Amino acid sequence: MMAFQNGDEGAFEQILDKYHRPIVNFIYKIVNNRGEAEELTQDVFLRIYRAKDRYEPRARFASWIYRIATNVSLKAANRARRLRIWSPSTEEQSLVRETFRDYRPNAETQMVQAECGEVVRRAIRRLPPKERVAIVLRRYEGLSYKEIADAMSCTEAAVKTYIHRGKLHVRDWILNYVKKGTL
Amino acid sequence: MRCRTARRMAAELVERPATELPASPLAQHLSSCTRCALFVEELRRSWEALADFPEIEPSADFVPRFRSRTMLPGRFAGYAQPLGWHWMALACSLAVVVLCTLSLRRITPPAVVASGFTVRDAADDHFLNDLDDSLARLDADFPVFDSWPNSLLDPGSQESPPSP
Repeated sequence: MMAFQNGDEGAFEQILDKYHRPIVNFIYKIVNNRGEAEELTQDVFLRIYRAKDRYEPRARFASWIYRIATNVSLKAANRARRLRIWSPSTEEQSLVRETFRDYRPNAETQMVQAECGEVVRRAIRRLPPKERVAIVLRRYEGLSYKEIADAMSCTEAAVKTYIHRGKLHVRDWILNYVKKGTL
Repeated sequence: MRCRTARRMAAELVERPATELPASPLAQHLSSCTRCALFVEELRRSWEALADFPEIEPSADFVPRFRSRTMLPGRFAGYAQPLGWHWMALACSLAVVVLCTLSLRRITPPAVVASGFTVRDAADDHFLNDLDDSLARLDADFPVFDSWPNSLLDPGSQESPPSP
């Protein structure tokens, strides 16, 4: 980023190449929609591009990117929650179709994996936005509690509470799925 | 140790492998309380199950699309998006400020002169004084003669009421 600040456009290309896939996946876990995740990732990189002159290397660069991505995805998740514009059904249906299209008796392992993935995806999607972001940052991105608190603009104690509640919710839903077959 | 405290403490430890559980009052509690041990095991398994979240690949045109957004000419680079709620909010705020300014100007109390009258009262007073002066001059120049008998005041000119 410092090289980009000094006018090296190629440095930004490197940032884009290195981080766009993790950020798309991170936002996808929050908003649960591939198209929206890509659009929001574009917004994240546009913000980074515009913030060239204001950037100060106070923390890890990755933490800074995740902070921007967290803000963008939390806004989107809250907006979706307010407006109730989830469209999971079509995406879920397409995923199920995708899963069962190549059904063969020897593809049982793949099916089980896809089913587990779908259960986890639904469990994450059902979490309240802040718990979801905290869990995703901790479980998938491997950020420390301090870095998560920095990204979410809250205290470490609040992050611990979000993650604790999130774990309990996920446990309940997965257990419920195992027992009853539905989340 | 109470179960509630143990569960709260153990929830943080499920992120580590089970073998790394330190020897502590918590470990003693978990070895003696089967319900808490089961709870922690379930929590650990659900935490591990989260690894199954399916990853996605960004579409192939992600980078070219981003480049096209940043290659727009001059100061509009990166702003190629429809007007969002920010602009609507800005326009509404401006409208509110204009309306407030106009209404404040209308309800502002009139200025008061030294005599205690408002400027408008003083102007009205001045106008009425001028009018009085003009009428007095008119009366002086043209004296009024009432040539018509005042029938209401002169009893002789009144008709007597009809006799029944």
